[in-house]
Amino acid sequence: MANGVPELSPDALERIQNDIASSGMSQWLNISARTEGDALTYRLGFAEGHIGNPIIRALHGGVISSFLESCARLELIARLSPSVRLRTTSVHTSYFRSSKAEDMLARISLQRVGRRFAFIEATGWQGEEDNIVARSAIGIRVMRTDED
Amino acid sequence: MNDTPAPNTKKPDNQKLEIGDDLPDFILPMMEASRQFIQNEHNLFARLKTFRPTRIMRGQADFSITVPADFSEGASASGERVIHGGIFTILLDTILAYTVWTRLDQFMPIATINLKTDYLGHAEPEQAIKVMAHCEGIADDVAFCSGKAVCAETGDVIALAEGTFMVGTKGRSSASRL
Repeated sequence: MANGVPELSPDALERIQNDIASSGMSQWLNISARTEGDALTYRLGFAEGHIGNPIIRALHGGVISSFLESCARLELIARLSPSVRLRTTSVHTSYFRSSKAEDMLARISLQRVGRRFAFIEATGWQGEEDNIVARSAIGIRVMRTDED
Repeated sequence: MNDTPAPNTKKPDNQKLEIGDDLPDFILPMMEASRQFIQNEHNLFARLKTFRPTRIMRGQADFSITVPADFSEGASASGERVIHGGIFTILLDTILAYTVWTRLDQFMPIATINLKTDYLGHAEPEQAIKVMAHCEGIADDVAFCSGKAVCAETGDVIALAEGTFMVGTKGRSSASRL
């Protein structure tokens, strides 16, 4: 458990699906997740509403940032006790290249998960995995109960 | 002692649009075209109860916004549903971009290079929200912007944002960006 990063919960996908089902925003973003070994990959299922400019048909920068933040939260939900509450405090996104009107995939790297705060990096790409579109540094306040 | 929760009081949203006299010619027609597209076709902005400019000046844009319960999620510390922070990321990115155009003499497409959003507070569904954004300046085709979303009634800050935008990106855009 390097840097306090907990193992993926056996019911990680079920937890993620339940959280998405309870969030109108996650549903609008059309987020889904799947496991690859002990890692999770997230998908933004493209929808017309995700477009920022209807002429050049690139994804909206805010949509990309919101998607990467949502993935970071879901990654913690998949690993921490269900009684833990999370509150995003900061999302800092850099846009490496233009996006296309298609699905975006993302993977999460938990840099450090402390008792009170988690530092997370989220990387989003389209097409090949090295075609990185954006990367976010995300801070999330972690609120645990005494039992956690 | 009255245990009845205070109603979610909302003041009528009748603030008139304040417009600077040194704005570029294209900005108001572009914003009107953008507003029509948003209200009629866009499946996020069309669901907002309010998305209306209240002040457009050179380098500045203020908007009045109300977000419906559709975009609320999980419980806050008090157990109430609150608006998903991602909405504010999208709104702030959009309105920061508008401020860039108010600084240009002619329309040019722009793209977000970097966006930082800090979430200080929560917004409840249907709560009146004000977004105030500035474009501080443009250097070497990079525009530097900042803004915040506040509760319209109390002034409490919900989210802060800083963004940089590339001005004059490639593309055939002559339409607004949402």
